[in-house]
Amino acid sequence: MLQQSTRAPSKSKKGGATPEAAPGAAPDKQSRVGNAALQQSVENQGQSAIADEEISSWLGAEREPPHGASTDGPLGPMRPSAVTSGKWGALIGPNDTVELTANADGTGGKFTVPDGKSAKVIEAKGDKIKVEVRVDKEKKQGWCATSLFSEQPMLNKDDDAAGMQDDFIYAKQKGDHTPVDPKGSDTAQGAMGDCYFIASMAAIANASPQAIKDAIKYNSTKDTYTVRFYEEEWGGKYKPVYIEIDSYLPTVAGNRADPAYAGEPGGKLWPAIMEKAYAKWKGSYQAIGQGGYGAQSMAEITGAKSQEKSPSSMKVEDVIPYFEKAKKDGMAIYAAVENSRQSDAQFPFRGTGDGPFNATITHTHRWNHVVPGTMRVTDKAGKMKGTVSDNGREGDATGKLLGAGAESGNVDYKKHTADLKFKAGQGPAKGEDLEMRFSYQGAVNAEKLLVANHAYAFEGVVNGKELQFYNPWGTWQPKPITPAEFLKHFTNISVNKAPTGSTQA
Amino acid sequence: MIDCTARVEAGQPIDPHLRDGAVVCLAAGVHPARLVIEQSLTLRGEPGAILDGTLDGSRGGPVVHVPGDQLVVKVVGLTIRGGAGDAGGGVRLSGWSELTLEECVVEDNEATLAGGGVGGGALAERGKLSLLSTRFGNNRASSGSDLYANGVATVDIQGGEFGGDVFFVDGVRATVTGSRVRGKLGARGTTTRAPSVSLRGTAVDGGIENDPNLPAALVVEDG
Repeated sequence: MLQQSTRAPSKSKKGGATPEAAPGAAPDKQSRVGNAALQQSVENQGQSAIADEEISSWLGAEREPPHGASTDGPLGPMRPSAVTSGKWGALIGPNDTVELTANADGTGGKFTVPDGKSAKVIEAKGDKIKVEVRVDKEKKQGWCATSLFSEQPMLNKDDDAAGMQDDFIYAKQKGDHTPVDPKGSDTAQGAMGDCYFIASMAAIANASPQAIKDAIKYNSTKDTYTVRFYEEEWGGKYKPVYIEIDSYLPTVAGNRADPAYAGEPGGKLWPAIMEKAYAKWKGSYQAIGQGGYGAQSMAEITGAKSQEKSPSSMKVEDVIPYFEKAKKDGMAIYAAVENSRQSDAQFPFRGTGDGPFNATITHTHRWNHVVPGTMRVTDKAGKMKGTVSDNGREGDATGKLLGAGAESGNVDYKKHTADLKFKAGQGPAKGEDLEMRFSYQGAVNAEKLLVANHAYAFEGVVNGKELQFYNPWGTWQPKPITPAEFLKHFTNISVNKAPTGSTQA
Repeated sequence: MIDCTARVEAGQPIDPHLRDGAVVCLAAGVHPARLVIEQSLTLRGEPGAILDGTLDGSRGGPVVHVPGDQLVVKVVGLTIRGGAGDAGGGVRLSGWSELTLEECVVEDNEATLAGGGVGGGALAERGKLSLLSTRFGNNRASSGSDLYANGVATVDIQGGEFGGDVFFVDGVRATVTGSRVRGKLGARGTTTRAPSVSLRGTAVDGGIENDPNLPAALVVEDG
C-alpha cells in the first residue's frame, strides 16, 4: 500500500484493459506547423499566450504533418525541435527496447532499456545524445540517437527520495479523444501528492462538465492534445494558456496500460491528459506533486476566480442550505480536511527503573500515524520532570525522544513503537505513569472514511441532510457526512463557477 | 502610546473587534484563533501575545487569512503558530491587498496537504506581502516550509530570518533585503512566465535552487 498521506493508496483499482504493445514507429522529422503563433508556442515548449481566435483558427486549420511523423505512418510522440542538456523526457523508438552505448560513435559497452524509459539529457552532440537513465535503482549513462528522444514532463520523486520514479515507462494511452460525459468519478489520483489538482478536476467535472470538454481539444493530424488553462495576470484578469502534449503517459512498471499518475487502466483518458498538460505548464510532474491548492487550480481550469469559505465561520444549520444553493448555482466545490487531530492521552510505556521503557502506540484506526515532531511525553505522577519530545520532521520514518532526563529514546512512526531510557534516577516511578500525546493523521473519521490532510470534491446533498464527497483517489469513498461532521473535519472550502455555456469558439 | 480601539485578553474572542480602521491590541498569552480578516486594520500584540490556530485539538486553516481585495492589514509583534492548511498554514494572503507582518514570529505551522501543501509558515498568492523583521521557524510544508509565494504576489522582505525554506514560483516579484534563509531558497517559473527575485545583503545557508529549465530572473547583490 502506498503511503496514504502523500498519494492514492493503490493503483489499478478498477481493473481493466489488456496491456498495450510498445509504441510504434518513430517519427523522423521535426515539428512543422502552419500557424506562426503556434510555431512560437512549440518553440517555447508550450509557452504561449495565443488568443482564443488564433488557437481556434489553428484547431480548425489544415496543418503540416505532425511532430516528425510521416504523412502515411503511425503517429509517434512529440519530439522537441532542439535537444539540449538538462532536458527531461523519454526514449521512444520503434522497438520494445532502446540500446545505449558507452560512446557517441556507437562503440563501447552496450545496454538496453525498455522503450519509453525516462531519461535526462546529459550532453548533445550532433545527432546523438548522452542520457542518464536508472537501471535497477542505479543511474547509468549512455549514448543513443537524438531522434529517439521525446521531451516529456519530469517524473515525480520517489517516496524515499532516493531518486526519481525512473522505473515508470512512458507509453501511449488510448481513450476518448474528447471527454465524453466527464464527471468527477472519472478521476483517480496516482503516485504523487497532487490530490488538490485531481479534486479540482473532479469538482469542476461534477459542476460543469462542459468546462472540461471545452478545455481539451484533440489534434487529429498530430495525434496530440491541446489543453487550455488560464493564468491570472497582474490586475486579476485571466488569460488563456494553451499547452500541447501527446498521449504518452508514465505507466507503472510492467503494465503499459496502467497510468502511474492520474487515470486507471481502461478508464477515462481526460484526467490524465489534463494532469500531464498541467505538469508540462508548471514544469514537471515533480513540480505539481510538490504542492498546490484547489482555489488556484480550479481557477486555472475555468478562468474564473475561486472564492473561499472557512467552515469555522458556518453554523450547523447553514451547511446544507449552503451546499444546496452552491450546487443549484453550478458551483464546483473543493474541500480540504483538517491536517491533523490531537490524540487522546494514552499510557503505553511499560518498564521499571531507568528503563528501557517500551511502548506500542495505539491508534483509532490502522491507517493512522503520528505526525513527526508532535509527540509529547509527561509523567502524570510528576517524578520525571519536564517533557520528552520527539524531533521528527515531515516524512521521517523514525525520530529521537529528547529532553527531561532522557538518556536515549526512539520513536518509529511507521511501526508505531517507542522506547525510552533515562539517566540514573530521572525516570518515572513506573512506565504506566508516562502519558503520551501526539497529533495524528490518517483516518480522522474512520467510520465515514474521512482522511486527514486530504482534498475532496463535493458531489451532492443526500436526502436533504448529509453531504457526499468524492475522494480523488478513486477509492476509499467517504460515506455521507452530517453537517456537524463537516464542520468538525473540514477546514477549507473553495468554490468556483465556470463560465456558462460552451467557451470553445 | 498606542491607541487601541480594542484590547483583547488571552482566550477571549477576537473576531468581534475586527472592524475597518481598528487597532486591536492582544494581551500577553495564548489567543486561540483562525482569523479571516476582511477589513483594513492593525493587530498589535503585547509582549508574549500568541495567536494559536489549534482549536479543540484540531489543526486546520491558517491563523491569519486575508482573502479580500484592496485592504491594508498590519500584524505587529505577534507570535503566529498552530496553523495548518492545504496552503498557507500560518498566514495566507489570497486577495489583492497589502498585508504586513512586522516584528512577528511565525512558527510551528504546517501545510502538508496530501504531500502537496505549500507555504507552511506563509503563503502569498496575490497582492503585496511585506515581512519586516519577522522570524520564521519550525514550519512544515512540501514546498516552501516557511514561505511560498505564488501567482501574482509581490513580496518585500526586510530583516527576515527563516529557519526553513523559501520558495518563489510563477509570476512572483520578490525582494529580500538584509535577511537570512537557513534552509533553501527556491525559484521556478512556468512555461509562460518567470518570477523575479532580487536578493540584497541576504545569506542563504541551504543554497539557492533556481530551476534550470524554468528559472527565475534572479539578481543577487551583496549576498
